[in-house]
Amino acid sequence: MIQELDNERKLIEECKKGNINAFEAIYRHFQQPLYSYAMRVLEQREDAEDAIQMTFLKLYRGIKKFKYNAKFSTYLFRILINVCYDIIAKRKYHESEDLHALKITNDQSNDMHLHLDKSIKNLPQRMRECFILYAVEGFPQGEIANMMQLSIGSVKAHVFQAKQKLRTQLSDYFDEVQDDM
Amino acid sequence: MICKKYEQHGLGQLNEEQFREHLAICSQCQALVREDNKIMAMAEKVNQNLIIPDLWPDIERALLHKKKVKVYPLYRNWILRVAAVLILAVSLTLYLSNREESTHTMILSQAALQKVEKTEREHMNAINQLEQAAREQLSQIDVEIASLYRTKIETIDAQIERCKAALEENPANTHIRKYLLAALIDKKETLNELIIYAEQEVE
Repeated sequence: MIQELDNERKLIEECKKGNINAFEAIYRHFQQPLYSYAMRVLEQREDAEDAIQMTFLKLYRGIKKFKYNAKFSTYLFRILINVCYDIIAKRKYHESEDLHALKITNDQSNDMHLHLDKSIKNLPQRMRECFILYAVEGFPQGEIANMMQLSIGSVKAHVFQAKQKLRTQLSDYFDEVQDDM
Repeated sequence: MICKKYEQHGLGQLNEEQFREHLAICSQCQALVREDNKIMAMAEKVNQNLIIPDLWPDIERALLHKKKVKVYPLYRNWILRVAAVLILAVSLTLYLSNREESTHTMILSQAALQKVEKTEREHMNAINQLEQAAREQLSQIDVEIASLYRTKIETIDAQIERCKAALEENPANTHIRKYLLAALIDKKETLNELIIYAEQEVE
């Protein structure tokens, strides 16, 4: 779950003045969920890095228009989501290298996460995006609806269907591994 | 076949309380919810081994470049000032080609002329000093911006030369003196602006 930014309003006002340190504070706060989302959606490290950079450039350009009528995290992720769509639209399909970025050790718990990551990757795009934002990044479904400009019903449906698909794909794995959660 | 209540709850058609009541008596839904919870718990931990690169240096560089390139207020200001200089040049040209002598309104007195010439000399001295400083700065700023400044200064210089040439025939002409003064002030301000901009770049 993403924590609220400390002194969010003050930080945003500093960003509006063009204070680069304020942008850095925002980057540091959101870097993990931003990168995690971009990697899982784009499946390419370079594209994910470009997406984050583009997101901050667009944020820099557009922050003066932010009027506090949505949560800042929603606003930021909406930019990232749209940037990811642009990147996907522009590129041809490449072999995914995400698993190399994510795998660290060979222990069983990590294999489980790797398996889940593979399964998430196989979800249809919208479903994958909704599931990542809900289950991995911890955003409430209402906020996801705002970010992705979908109805909350659509988000609920995507998350529900994602869980069903993942349950099927992970069912064998669940049978093999003892439940230690 | 999945329990309908589980599906309704998942799609938001059944509220939490209603689903909780059903859950108490439906073993299928209990199993489904257990598996959902496992998936959610795994998903929450899926980032724990994710290596996050520090992208800030690249982002910072890009933002600073954007800040530097965001010269459109400067550029817009520049455009307006070039427009002002061109309007002056056109006005001067029209005046010089259409003038009818009306000596008593257009000629400066000797005292006034001396005063005006003194002011012009002061501006020229300031301009000479600023030009020396600006010459060094031009090489340090973005090539495109430097080119814009050079073009603007050349336009103003051309205006100054036309005024000076016209004043050789009519040294006490008020209008020409005004145009010359306006051009000198504009050149001084442009050189100042260039120096300040270049200093900010270096910072």
